[in-house]
Amino acid sequence: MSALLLVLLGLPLAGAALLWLLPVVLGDRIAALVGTVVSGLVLVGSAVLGYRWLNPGSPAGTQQADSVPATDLPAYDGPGRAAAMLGDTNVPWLPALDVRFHVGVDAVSLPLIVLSALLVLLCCVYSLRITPQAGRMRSLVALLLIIETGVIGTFSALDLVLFFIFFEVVLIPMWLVIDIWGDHHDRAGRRLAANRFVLMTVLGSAVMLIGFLLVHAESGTFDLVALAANPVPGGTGVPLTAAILIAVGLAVKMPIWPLHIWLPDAHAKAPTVGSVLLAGLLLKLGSYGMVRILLPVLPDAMVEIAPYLAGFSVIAIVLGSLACLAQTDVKRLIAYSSVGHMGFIGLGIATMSAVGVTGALFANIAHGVITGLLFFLAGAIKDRHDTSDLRLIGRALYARLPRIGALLTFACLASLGLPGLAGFWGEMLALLGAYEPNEALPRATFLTLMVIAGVGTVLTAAYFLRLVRNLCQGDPAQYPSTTFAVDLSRIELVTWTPLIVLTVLLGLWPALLIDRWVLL
Amino acid sequence: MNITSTDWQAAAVPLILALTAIAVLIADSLRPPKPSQDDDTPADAPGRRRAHLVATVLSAAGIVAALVGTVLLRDEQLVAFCREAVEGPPECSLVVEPLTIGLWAVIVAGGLGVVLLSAYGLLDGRVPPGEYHFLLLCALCGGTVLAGGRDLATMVIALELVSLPSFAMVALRRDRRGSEAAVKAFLVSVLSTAVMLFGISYLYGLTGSLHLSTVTARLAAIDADEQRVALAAGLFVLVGFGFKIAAVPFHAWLPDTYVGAPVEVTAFLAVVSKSAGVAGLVVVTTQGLSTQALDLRIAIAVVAAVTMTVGNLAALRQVEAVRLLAWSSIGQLGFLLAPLAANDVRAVVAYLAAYAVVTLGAFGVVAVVQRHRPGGLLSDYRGMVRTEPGVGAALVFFLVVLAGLPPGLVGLFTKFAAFQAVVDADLGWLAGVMAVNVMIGLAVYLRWVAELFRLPVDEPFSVDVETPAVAVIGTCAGAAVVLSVLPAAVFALAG
Amino acid sequence: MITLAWRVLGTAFSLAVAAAAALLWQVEPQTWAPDLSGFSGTLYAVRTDDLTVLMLAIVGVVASCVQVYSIGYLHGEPRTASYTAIVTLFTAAMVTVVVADSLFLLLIGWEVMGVCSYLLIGQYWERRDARAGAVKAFLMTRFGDVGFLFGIFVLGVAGGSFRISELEPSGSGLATVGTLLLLCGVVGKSAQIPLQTWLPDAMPGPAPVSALIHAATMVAAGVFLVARMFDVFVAAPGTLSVLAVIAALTMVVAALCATAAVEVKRILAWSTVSQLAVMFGGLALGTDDGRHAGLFHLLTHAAFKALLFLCAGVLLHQVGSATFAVLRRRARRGVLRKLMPVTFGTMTIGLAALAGVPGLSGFFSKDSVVEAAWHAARDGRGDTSWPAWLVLVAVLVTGMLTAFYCTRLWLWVFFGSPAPLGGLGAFEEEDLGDSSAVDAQEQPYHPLRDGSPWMLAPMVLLALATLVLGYAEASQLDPAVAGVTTLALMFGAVPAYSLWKRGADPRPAVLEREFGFDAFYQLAVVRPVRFAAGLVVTGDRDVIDGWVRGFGKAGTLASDGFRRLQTGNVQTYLTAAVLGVVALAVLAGVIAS
Repeated sequence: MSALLLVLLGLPLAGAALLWLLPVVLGDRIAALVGTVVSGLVLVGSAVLGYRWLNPGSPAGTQQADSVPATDLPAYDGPGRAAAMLGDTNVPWLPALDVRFHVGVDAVSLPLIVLSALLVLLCCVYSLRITPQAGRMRSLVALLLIIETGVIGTFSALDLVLFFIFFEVVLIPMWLVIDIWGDHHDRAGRRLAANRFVLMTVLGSAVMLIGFLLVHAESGTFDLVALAANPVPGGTGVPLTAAILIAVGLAVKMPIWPLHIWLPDAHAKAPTVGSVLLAGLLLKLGSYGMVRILLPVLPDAMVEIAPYLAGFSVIAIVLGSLACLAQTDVKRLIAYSSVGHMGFIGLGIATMSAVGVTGALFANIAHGVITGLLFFLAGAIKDRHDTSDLRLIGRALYARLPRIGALLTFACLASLGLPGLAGFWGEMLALLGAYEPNEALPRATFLTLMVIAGVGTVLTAAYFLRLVRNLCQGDPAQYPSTTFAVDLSRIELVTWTPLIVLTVLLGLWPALLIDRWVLL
Repeated sequence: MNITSTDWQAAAVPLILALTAIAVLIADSLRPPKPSQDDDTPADAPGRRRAHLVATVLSAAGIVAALVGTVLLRDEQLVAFCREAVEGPPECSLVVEPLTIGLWAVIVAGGLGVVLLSAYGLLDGRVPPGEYHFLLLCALCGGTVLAGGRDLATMVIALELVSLPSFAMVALRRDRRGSEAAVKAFLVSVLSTAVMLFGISYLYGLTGSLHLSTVTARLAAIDADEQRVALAAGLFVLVGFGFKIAAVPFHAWLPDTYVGAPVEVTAFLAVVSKSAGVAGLVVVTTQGLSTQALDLRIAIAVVAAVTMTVGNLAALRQVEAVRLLAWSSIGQLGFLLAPLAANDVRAVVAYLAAYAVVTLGAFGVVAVVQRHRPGGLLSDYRGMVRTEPGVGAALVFFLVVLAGLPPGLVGLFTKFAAFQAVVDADLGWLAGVMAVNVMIGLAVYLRWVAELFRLPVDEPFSVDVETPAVAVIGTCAGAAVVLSVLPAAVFALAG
Repeated sequence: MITLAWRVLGTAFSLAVAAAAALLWQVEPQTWAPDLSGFSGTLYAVRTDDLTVLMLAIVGVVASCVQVYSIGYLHGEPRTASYTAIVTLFTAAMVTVVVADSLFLLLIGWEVMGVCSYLLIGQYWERRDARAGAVKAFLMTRFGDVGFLFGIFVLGVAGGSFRISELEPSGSGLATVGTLLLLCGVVGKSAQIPLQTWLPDAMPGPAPVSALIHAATMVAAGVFLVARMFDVFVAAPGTLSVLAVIAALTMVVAALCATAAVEVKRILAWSTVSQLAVMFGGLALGTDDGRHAGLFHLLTHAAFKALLFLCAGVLLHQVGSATFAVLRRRARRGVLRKLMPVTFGTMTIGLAALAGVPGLSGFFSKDSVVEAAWHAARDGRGDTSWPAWLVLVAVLVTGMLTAFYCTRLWLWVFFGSPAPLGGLGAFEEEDLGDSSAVDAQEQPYHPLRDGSPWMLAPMVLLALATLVLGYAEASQLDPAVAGVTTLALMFGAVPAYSLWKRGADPRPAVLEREFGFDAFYQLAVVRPVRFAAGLVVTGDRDVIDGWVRGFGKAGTLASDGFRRLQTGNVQTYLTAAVLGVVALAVLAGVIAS
């Protein structure tokens, strides 16, 4: 298993190197094909890991089963406690600084790894036919693969420094993706968006690094397993500072209001595949870090900051939804919707209850799938109309692109948290966790936040329906069908089907994941 | 001062360098004299080329020998030029210990790189090769002595031995910009030496000794208001080094000098002479002046913070490659001083090594480009990753290492070590400043990287990169990659 | 082709549901959950009891009728395939709600129904009112559903289980809170005050969809839920009192609105609201026969309300509009009556049942509610008998009003007014600006015919049901109560007749504005939200982004500043250096002291 995990980490890098070694004249199709093969192999590998995890014999599958009743939660116990790891590799890397190369996966990280592999594969498949105007697919695909390594590495890192390194790996590739392949109408805009993304994130991660070092100063180790085994005690002084710094650093990535300001531009300007990976994977790094690091390592300090985290998350839910109500650009709208959804994840984590954290983890996966689909759709609409401005696209998409319009409606419904589709369970569990948070936390506060978040769900529904109404519905007589606009192409169908299937599957069978994390 | 015991092994490396310098001078004087130095007629070109070759080979051989010597001396504990102390152990002016070895390795290796680079660049410059290499070797010798020196007098002399040749090298091209740059550097240096000697004299007056260990020992005994004087004196010594390494606010000469000098000389200034200055600073602070009695950490920390901020900010908007590198080298120096403020020598040396490697490589690329595009603007690098994949990718890697992001892991780890040192020393505010500067620095280097990646290229940029440059760039890139995978090597330098 | 497949599938499914009801008839109540550990164990728990059977029967029959009817109704229209598919999904969702024992499974069906209604109301998305009505319906019900979800939290956590069968009624305050929260969802789904306004605006949807929503699925779900969790509600008397007040208020207000509406479907919509309130009134009594009466009324109401909507659908389909004005312009002198005998006959039966004419099903079921209310009021539940009295009075008043608007509708639509000018003038002013009237102009004036057999057959079936269903309970009928209700019927019907006779149709403004709920919501909710949205965007752009831009600008300025300091003049450098030395010396002094 450990070898397999290392292969998962190394394979995309090898693929990227291979791509760059190939001659420039190489056709875009070939490049995308190479990328498809490589990421396909990665997906297979992660699926094998996933199988090992799913079958009850494997340690990681069972170790989450001991759901702790809400009565004897010291601070937090449950998902994120890296007790038994699958594919554990632990070798010293830089003894002088006490840095180890320690990777391994468990129930928390594995679904995210599979999701990452899937999304990257879909992006590569998508690129087989549909390419941004800038061309240069060779480099684009290579960068996508590097991002894949970074993401999978972050999800499997069990050493704080290693986590930090993989966390940073994705920055420059994504910066290039936005800067080179971004919105071809607006060079200055995409340059600005890319810079803002990379600079805010790097500042955040530097702050987070200081937090890690404080943890090391307190506990004398960077190893997450050891830290989870005996966490840093105390909710004041250095541990509190460390927790705040780490939380802020991760909050930039997530992002949590008011650190979200880089997100709308980055998503709106990025190419379709960039937006998909950005929203589907990169945002998850932040929330995963909170579950993996803040909760197990700094439980007492987390108790101190959890109410504030929850508060900002709920503000993000409400303000993000309100902002969506006033958006006129479909990609910006979906980007802002991510702010709201990540707010739910933040709320779930902040409850520090097994239920809430389970909800956050589930919402991670669901948001990755659904928002990936949404950005694919938005990209398809943008490609067909050469703009993502609702006013310029016009209305009555049902009449012009019936299939895409229907899929968009489906994705919107899934994203607004319709029970029976993937989007619902995570947010529901997060709210349930807020109804019954860890009893170290002030319950009244969380009840209030729960109610506000509930209103936020109505706002979410409102802006998605507004989107459907302003984009899909309307009098076709006023908005004649554009000649070039072909409905759902085959490659799009192939690319999107897995996401649609997952949305329905996770919606109807949430236990597939939930039971892995905690028993309700 | 009667020398009692001397282990010539300890002095081997500086001696080798000094002898090589003399050898180069002699070899150069043997070549047939030219009609006049000023007009460099093409007819004379073959002669110059031969002389250049000879000088290069000689000095390269000498430096390699010195490098070998350094390697052989590793994990030795040697002393030289010792004399009985009134109390305590004998005072030795030259000490070889792990710290010294690490600094020597950086300095000498950097010197070797500069020599190779010069082999590529100097041919069509107006720089007389013999003198150039002589001065270079002298400076190297001074640098090694500085790193090994343990008494203030030795160190002042060594420092001058580093500085004066540098000014000469800046001025060697004998054009207006060069001489102007040299004058600036020289004036600033004079002031700095004056300030430093002032401080040293105070220290001597207080302690009656110039030897660092003795100074330290006796400073511990002095009373309160004498301590205030001692503090001021120590600060003046710091200021002296601050001039040499161009710490803010003593930095202003650096950008003009860098731009005025030939690229190779700039590389020399940025790598060798800066490393030497840092070496001296490290020795002085860690061996002598940073004790309980005389705590300069805060001062160094403040200087570090100001230096990195100013350097990065000023680099933010530069449009010339060399100026950008000049300012960003000031910023990097700030990061170098930060762990020094925390007394973490290992982090300092590691950072210095990483910095030296990639800076040398970057200047190598700049030399290549500026030969074909004398303007030296950032826009001249447009689309290089496509037209010159090798050089372009190498430059990108160097810049990323300087920024301290993956894949430039060696840069990341050295910055990480700096952070760790600072955090462990409870200098939280400094860590915050460093975090902000990581962001600014990234902004600086990304502007350049963006140019490298941007397409389409209006006039495609393709050059014939000659072997020496390829050697330098390749070696630096290779070294950076290896160190990125195995960063432990960098941190093993200072034991 | 696909359309056909879906039609077969949908009809077959609906019939299967009805058949399942027949099979489960008289099977003793039982619950079943998959033998799975963890969440899936609770999630998929289902149950069956007589309530389930009743609802399955209603859903199956009405859905089958609607499916068949739609074949004729949507003949030659686009998007029939998706329409039929969604109707089927709608039915399936309702079935899920009915059979669910797990609250989450119930919630799934509950919300999927909301989405289906959204999609079906927006079936004609080219029309503005359809789009608006669809969004309004979804958002209002969604708002209630948030409370519903929280109610599930409260009850589930308190009861330690999310299965209805395992929720033991506890008289604690927590139970009251939980049931009140559930009530939010119920009010939203069943369009009770204050969330009633979405139902009348949902009329732009196709008529069969209205029949489905109003009779069997969506709005009935609210009543069903209260009946399903009846003992939990009974354990929380406070909630029942609230429910009683809401019900009483709603049934009267909705009936009043119906008296002033001038479009057949809108009248029927309001009547649905008020009839649902009647059912809630029965349930709010908290007694067993109250629950029984409410469910009985749910059953009969399902029959005749579905019938009425299908009839209205025929009018809409054949005439092109269901507004009084258009109907009368198209059908002077009651020609509709002669040209559409079947529609006329079945609609008469439906209206009579709705009005509660003795002998028809509506009469019996309404009487049972009145009777239950009377008993509850007489015995009193603990010390609180006032809810029962409230319900009793409200139901009687409602009966009167219902009779009024039924008669009005019947006369004005199917009979020419004896006072021609007044009769004609009574509705002319609504012509302009009424979108459905505009549609009417577009319709070609094809000669009026009765609907196609596809459409008529279900109507006849439902008419028969309307006729006979009542006698299931006819045995225990209290003559006194019957007399009172019949009196109320008279009080309502006679004024309607006399008004029609004089060709007058007075419509108080407050009723035409339907008590101004919509205007209030527009003012109190929609505008503030829009304003806040604008505010947030500006805030992001000018405040937060302003900070970011500010830092960027500051960096640039500083950078330029340093470049400007770089004069190249060595004197300035030295000065700066000396100043630096001094500064450091001062700093040293500060440190030292």
